[in-house]
Amino acid sequence: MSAETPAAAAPPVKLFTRQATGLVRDVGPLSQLVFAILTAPFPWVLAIAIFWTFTAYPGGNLYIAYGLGYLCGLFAAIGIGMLATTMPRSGGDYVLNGRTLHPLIGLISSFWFTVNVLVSIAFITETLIVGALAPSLVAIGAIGHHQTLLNWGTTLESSKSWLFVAGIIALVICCAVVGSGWKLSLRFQNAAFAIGLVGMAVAFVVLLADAGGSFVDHFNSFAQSYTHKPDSYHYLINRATADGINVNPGTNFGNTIPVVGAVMGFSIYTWFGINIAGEVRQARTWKFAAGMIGAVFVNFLGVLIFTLLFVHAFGGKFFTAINSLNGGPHYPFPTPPFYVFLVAIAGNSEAVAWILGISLIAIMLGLLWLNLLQPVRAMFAYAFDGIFPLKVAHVDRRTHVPVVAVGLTLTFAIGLYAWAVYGSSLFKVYVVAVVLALVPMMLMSVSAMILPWRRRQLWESSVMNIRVGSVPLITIAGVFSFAIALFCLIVFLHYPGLGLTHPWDAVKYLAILAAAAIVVYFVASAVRSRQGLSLAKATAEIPPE
Amino acid sequence: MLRRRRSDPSLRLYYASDIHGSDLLWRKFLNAAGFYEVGSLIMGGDLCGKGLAPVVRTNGGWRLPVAGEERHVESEDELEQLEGLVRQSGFYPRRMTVDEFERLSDPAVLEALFEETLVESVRGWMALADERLRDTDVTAYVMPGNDDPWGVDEALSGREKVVACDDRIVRIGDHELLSLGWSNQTPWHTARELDEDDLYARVQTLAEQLENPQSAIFNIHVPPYNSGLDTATELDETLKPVLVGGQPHEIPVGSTAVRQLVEEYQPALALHGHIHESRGIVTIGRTVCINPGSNYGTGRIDGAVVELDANGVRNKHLVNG
Repeated sequence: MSAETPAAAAPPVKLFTRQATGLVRDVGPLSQLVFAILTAPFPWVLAIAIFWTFTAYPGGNLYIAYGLGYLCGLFAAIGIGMLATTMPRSGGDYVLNGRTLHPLIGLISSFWFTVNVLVSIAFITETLIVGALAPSLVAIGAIGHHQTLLNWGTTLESSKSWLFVAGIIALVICCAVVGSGWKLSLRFQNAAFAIGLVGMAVAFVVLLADAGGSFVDHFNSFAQSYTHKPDSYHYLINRATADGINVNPGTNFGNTIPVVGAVMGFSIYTWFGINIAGEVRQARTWKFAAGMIGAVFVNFLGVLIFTLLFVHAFGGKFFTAINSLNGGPHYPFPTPPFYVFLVAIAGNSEAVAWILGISLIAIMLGLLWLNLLQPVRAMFAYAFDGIFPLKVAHVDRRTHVPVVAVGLTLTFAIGLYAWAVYGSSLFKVYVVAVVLALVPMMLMSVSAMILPWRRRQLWESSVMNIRVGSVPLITIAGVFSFAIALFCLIVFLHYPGLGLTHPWDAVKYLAILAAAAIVVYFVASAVRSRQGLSLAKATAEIPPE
Repeated sequence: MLRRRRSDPSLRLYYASDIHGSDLLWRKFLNAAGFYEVGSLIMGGDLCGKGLAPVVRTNGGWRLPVAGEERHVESEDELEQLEGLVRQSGFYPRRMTVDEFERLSDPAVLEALFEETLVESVRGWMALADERLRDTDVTAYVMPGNDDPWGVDEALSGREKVVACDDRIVRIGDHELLSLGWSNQTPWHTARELDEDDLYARVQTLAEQLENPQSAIFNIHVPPYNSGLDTATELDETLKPVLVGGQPHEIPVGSTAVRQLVEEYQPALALHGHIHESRGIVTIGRTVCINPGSNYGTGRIDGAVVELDANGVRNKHLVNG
């Protein structure tokens, strides 16, 4: 009998496996996708993060900006997702840059990114209270005529003490969830996302049902007690026009570029999922990168569909007018014109206001929880590498809570939140913190570019060992993600209206944090050397030959 | 006054476990001696991989599975490169004819080939250890784990620089090394599993032979129960994760017997593996317990460098090489 056979006629050659114990990771593909979506969930974007550009950059075309911004997000997810797939360990940029470039570069990068996240936590907490909870209470109170809820909402918006207390409660709840382990954490994450989706589904139905144009009637009926006008809808459009706002600006391509920057401010971070790479099932397959890529599509479709619906249901001129008037002297309502408020009016329903308010708060809690994970994971990685004392990674045996890392994260978060509430200068740090995220992203992109040469065996043994011609695909992807981070940085530097008003402050913070990382690294290195093993060796690759 | 320099440790060792067939990691394990400047290497079991990759001869080339895809190569150089990649991932490339490949549908044939391949591989690894450590003072202490077939014991024995240490006590510097590769019962029903009572009795028999339990090193594959070194996802009879509220349910899966033995004998150091995802260092009483974890598929070997003196563990470091 012939020992050979034509390839076409042969049965498929598969891997045979035997019964053996195995690693079971906790985070499944669906949970990983939800995690990536929650890095910048579309309900949060629609409520808080985008429509301010109507005023700042009139004529900036949102649809073009969404398209380009999320395309950039796609390339960022591919580049950094591919890198993380080759070495899926928890610790994020610290591990990816540290293992590819140098441990010290990894630590500097991680200090930048972790501080960015901690500052973001303070602002997400504040936004949760003053951008979601308080306005939702006011909206529900206003629509349902509940003076108590109205009062609670306005108190939260105006009283620093209550703002602080409410924020601390949110922080403690989310930290407790982070510390409770993956089982409860993933339930919390998925519940927050599911509640958020329910809210958006209700909004979708209400807005579609409003296709007949009942919004104007409902709005006029509701607004009369605030504007004292029978046709508040057109009154507000005219008011905005009188204030010099072009409510029908068409497309201004010059102003579209900064709006692309604004979109990139939230669209390019689905790679945040690398921070849980060590816990994701099948993290060494394309499924891991696909989760981050999929999240870009979900969030893109979410903002696109709902922006179209908002403009269709509320009217483009009105939507531009009311968002532009918001915060000014001629804005008549006690709550901002976010979708919770407007959709509830469209539905002419207090119940809709409740559902949308709760769903937005749930999404914001999910976002806060997700951000709190990163510092905990970074500290774990530092401790396991000997940079921080191993006690930092101590897990309580009874409760299984990483008490020290969670406690430190909560302490930093509360401190920064207090600064955000009672101080006036943290906002200056926050607006330049984007640089603290973009530079680590550039470093990870460089790591992706040079991985096939710096970590040849790792790259070859991964599913990412694909070449396009003679060039590794991961190198090309790294070039793209680097270009995107650089483009985003240039846009933020060129348009101070996006927040980066003091670029030299950003350089100062980068330098201070880099210096802090260098000091920590060399102190830790000295301590470890006295204990018999240099820090560099603890993380360096053993040559196999 | 100058601070007096502390005396050198009596023992400096490198420990790793659960490399599951990764040729790359075994080579790194051997080189860890020079890299971390240790005199003893301890491998805590589960040497063998979990997958056999048939490399089937076809007209004008070979077909083999690589990273989930079937690849067809024609040149010997290309084939050797891909076989290297398969080995790095912890799988065993095995060249065969189509007839031999088709016979693998018989479970008995497959099992026999698996064992033959695994043992052959371990034998090759031990030969490499002898070769690399021959002109050094380094000794490698190696034991099989619960996942390793019985033939591995024979492959470990009779080596020049490798001490097969399973189920016995050996001297390592001024310390005694007590080793056992067996585990408590797992959902996989692997080769070397015992009920807790039997596991206790087996280790206790060894421990009673220790001259000085407090300076001893326990090298027991399965970690102590509820130690933080043994947290894993609960599995059902079909090996699927148990979901509670839609999420995987984490439980301690270590051995209650090992926990009791560590508490009773209080050795200086207890080295464990088995639960790949539960990397860490904890103390139980005065005993420092270490599970370095394992991410063998990534090409990096998780391990621990430990220094001991007469008083116990002086320094311990988790390392990732």
